Amino acid sequence: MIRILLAAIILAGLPCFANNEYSPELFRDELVETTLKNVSDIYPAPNLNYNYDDSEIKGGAEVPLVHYKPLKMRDHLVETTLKDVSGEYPEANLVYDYSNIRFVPLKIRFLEHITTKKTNNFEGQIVKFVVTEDIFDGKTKLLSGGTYGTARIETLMARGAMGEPADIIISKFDVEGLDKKKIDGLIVRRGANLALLAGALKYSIGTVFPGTGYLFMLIKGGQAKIKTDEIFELKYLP
Amino acid sequence: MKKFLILSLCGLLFGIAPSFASTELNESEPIGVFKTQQQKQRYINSIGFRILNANKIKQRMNFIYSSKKTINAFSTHVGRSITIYHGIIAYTDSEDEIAAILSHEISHSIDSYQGIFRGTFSNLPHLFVPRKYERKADKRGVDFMVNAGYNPVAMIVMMNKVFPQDRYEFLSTHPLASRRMAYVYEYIYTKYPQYLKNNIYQDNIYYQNFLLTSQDNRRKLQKKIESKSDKRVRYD
Repeated sequence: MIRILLAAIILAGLPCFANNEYSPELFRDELVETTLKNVSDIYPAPNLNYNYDDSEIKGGAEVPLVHYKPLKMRDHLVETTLKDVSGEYPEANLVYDYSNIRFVPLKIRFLEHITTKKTNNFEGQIVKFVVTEDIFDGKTKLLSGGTYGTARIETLMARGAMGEPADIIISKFDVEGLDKKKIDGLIVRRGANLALLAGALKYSIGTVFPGTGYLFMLIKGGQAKIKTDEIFELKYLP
Repeated sequence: MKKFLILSLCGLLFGIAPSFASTELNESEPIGVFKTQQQKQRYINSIGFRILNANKIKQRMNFIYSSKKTINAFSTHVGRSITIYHGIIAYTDSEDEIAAILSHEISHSIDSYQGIFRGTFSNLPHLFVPRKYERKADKRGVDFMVNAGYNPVAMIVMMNKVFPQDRYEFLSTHPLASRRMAYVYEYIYTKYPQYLKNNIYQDNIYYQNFLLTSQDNRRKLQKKIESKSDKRVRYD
C-alpha cells in the first residue's frame, strides 16, 4: 500500500519538475533593433594584412605612423643603416675540445686608462693593448713582446647607491699573429663592494636612531679602474 | 560475458590514458614532445650545457626543470642552480627562446662567483640594485646565445611574450620590459647586426608586435646612430 502511495506521489510530482524548466525570456536590444534597421549583417573584413610601416621614423616628422598596406611591418632602421652589413651569422663555438689543459701565458698591458668614472669609455669600445713579453711554445717563439692587439669593452656598469660596485668586463682579444680563438680569458674588474657595509650601517644605526638608516643608502660602491701599468695574464692554448 | 566485460574495461582504460597524456603538455611547444620528467630535464640540460661549453664558462652550475606552472626561471646565489619552470617553457616556440632564458640566468650565476669569500656577498648588490644586473644579464645572455649558435633575436621575442609592462620601474626589481627589449635590440644592432639584417624572426607575430611597440625607442636609437653619440639612450 505504501509503495502504491509513494509511486502516486512521485508520478504526481513529475509534472511540477517539468514545469520548472529554466527558460528565461531573452532580453532584446530595442535600441539596435530600432536604429540599425538598415545596417548590413555582413561583418567587416579583418585587417590581417597590416603594415605599420615605420619608414616615417626618420627625421621624427609629425606624420601618421600607421599605414594599412598589404605588407608586413619592416624595420626601417635596419634597412637603412645596415645596408652594407653581411647577413651571414657569426660562427658559433660548437666544435670545442677542452681536453688540452696546456697553455702559454699571454701577458698584456692596456695602452689607455679604462675606468667607469665619467670618461670617454663606453660599452662596445675597442681598446688597444700591448703584449709585454715574448710568447714561447716550448722553444718555438710564437710572438714577440711589443705586439699590439685589440679587445672589446663588453660591460661598463656604473657604481650605484647602497654600496653597489662598478664593473668592467673586457673580452674578444685579438693579437696579430695569434689565433684569436685560442686566446682564453676575460678581464673582469670590479670596484669595492660596499653593499655589506652600507647594509650593516643602515640596519644597525637605523634601528637605534630611527630614520637615520636611509642616509647610509647614499654610500656608493667603488669605481672600477684599469691602469696602463697593470699587467693582465691571459691564456693562449697553442 | 566476463571476458567481454574485462576486455571492455581494458579498452576503456587504454583509450583514456593517452587523453590524459595529451592534456599534460601542449604538443606545439618544443618540450611538448618529451613525455617524462627525465626527458624534459635532459632537454634543458642539453641547451644549458651547450651554452656553458660554447662560451667556455668555467664556473660550475646546474639546471633544474620544474613542472610547476609558475611563469619564471631563476638562479640561486647559494647553490648556483638554475631552475626553469614549465610555466615559462609553455610560452616558448623554439629552442632559441629556451636558450634566451637560460643564457640570462647563466649570467646571473656567473656573478655569484665574484667577490670576496668565493662570492659570498655578491648577492647583496643584486638585492639592493637589481635592475642594473638584469640589464647586464640580458646583454651577456645575447653573447652567450650567439657563441652557442642560437639566434639572439629570440630573446626579444621571448621578452615580448612573457614580460608584463609595469608603469614605473623605480619600485620594481626588473627594468621596464619595453626598455629591456630596446637595450637588447641596441646591443644586437651594434654587436651582431647580421641577425637583424638576416632576421628569421621578421615575420614572427611577437616580433612584429615588438616593432610596432618599439617605434619611439628605435627612433631614439636612430638619432643616436646618426649623431654618432656614445651616450646611453634613455629608452621608454
